[in-house]
Amino acid sequence: MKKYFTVFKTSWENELEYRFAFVLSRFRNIVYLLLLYYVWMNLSQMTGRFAMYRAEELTTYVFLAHLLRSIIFGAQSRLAALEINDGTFSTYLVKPITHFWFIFWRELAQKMIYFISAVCELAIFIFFTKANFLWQNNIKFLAFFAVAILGSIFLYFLLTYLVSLLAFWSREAMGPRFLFEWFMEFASGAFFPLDILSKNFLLVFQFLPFAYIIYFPLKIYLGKWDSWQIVMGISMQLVFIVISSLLVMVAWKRGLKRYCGEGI
Amino acid sequence: MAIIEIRNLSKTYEYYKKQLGLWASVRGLFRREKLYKEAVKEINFTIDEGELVGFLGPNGAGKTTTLKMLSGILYPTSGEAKVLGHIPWKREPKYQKQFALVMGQKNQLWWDLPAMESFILNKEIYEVSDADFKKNLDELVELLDIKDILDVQVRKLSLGQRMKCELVAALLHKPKVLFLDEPTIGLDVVAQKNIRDFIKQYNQKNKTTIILTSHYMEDVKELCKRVIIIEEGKIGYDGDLVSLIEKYAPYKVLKITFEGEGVKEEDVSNFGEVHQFTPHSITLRVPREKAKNVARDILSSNLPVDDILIDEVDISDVVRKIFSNNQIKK
Repeated sequence: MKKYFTVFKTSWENELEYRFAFVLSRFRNIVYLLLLYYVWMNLSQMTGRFAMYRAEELTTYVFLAHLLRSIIFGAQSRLAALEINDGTFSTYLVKPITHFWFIFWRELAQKMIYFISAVCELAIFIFFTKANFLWQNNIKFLAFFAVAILGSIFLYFLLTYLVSLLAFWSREAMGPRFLFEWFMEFASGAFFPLDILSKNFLLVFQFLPFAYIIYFPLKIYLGKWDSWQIVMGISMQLVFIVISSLLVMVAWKRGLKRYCGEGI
Repeated sequence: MAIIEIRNLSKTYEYYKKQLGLWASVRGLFRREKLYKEAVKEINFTIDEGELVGFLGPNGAGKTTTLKMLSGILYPTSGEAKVLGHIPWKREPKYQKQFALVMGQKNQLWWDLPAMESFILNKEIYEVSDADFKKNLDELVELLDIKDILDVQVRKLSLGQRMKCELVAALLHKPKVLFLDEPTIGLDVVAQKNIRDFIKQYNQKNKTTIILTSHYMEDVKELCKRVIIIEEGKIGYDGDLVSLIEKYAPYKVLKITFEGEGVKEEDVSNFGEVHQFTPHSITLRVPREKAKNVARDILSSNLPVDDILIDEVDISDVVRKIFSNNQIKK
């Protein structure tokens, strides 16, 4: 475990070296925050609600989605695809370390920095706009919210890692990965609550893993689901984690047999 | 005791034929012809503890592929290999803690951080105790003389300094087996010599078993008593470097300098094959067994000899000749 903590620490130091990339990435997220906040503010201005959400629920959803983006979404497993393609991946294979966990902790370091930044951004934003934020004080909802976030972190990482492993089969893994990320961002509910879409959409999305990444934890926080729905949701999250773990294991095993360490 | 044992090891790569031209590229989206390349073909060798073996061959001969299989990066297509009693491609942590691979063309150090950060990370990855880490690091830092650059970002180091740091990172856990793939590539002459001297000292002191691939014959001449030559995936020679020279260079070189007005080419051509000629210095190639007699004949002739030297032929010439003529015989 100590070795992975050192990976975390070293990655943290490394992240701080890329100040410009960090600023740009945060800028992108702040633009999303402003855009979504003002869109939902305007849409709910007339009646004080939109679809089945009150204005402050929508505001809270947008703010928390901003936070969850920073701690769930990450880019390090994308780097893994590039490393497989250019042969740098070989340097992990010769060491007594598990590649999956190495990348996971490397990504976690990046996420922690982004999370701290996102908290500061939100605090400043709420202070200046005096926006209504709904503080959840039900311990049960908060506890399930925390559990669901943990599940989301693992589920997102497993899915993106799985897509990165495509690099074993194709040098063009970045294309599918880009498309996948774009779709995932939309289908995870990072832009808006998925249930404002038509019922048919929601029905399809419920059977995809993405909805359990942002939409599901935020619905728990907002207190929109009863205990049964929460347990069902967490079970679905677990099922998707198990399925994607198995797929990662199969892809890893088969991919390694194909890997030829090009570039060295 | 054999530390590395390889039996009938083969590796075949699959790849797709890339047709030239725009239309062919479009067609390639739908249908591609699969091709196979046998990079390593049923090679066999064993290496004993503490040996430093040179692995030679032209580009694409199969040297790096063999090292990749021995370090567990690649699965072989067929055959067996054992290093320190482990099958490398099983990637057992117990094995991984006992060997290191240094690739001259690939970094393991974190580019934007000082090398010391990578050393500390490796300490934890290889689970080296604090005391051993300090002892090994001090020893390596002193041997390689890099105390002043430990806190400099890796990207700001010269190629030579970076390679020294790569070696430290690879040796902190005191591996019993070390695979060095082109460790001196791209370095200037002084840096090459520093790395070479270090490898020599390290091998002598720690009895580490080392396989070295290099395109620089100086590396091989200085470091390796035994060489394995691989060409087109097959081992063509496995034995002493000295025997290789005797086998493939059945002649010695006589370097003679002359005083006064020097000599004419026809005066010396009957002593042997004239390789280089100026009136004041010549290089003759003569059959190995006749070298002494020819030298004596030249000295007792009327030629104005100033100095005479009997030398071995340059190893790089021998290997170059072997590769260019494809003349390896089993």
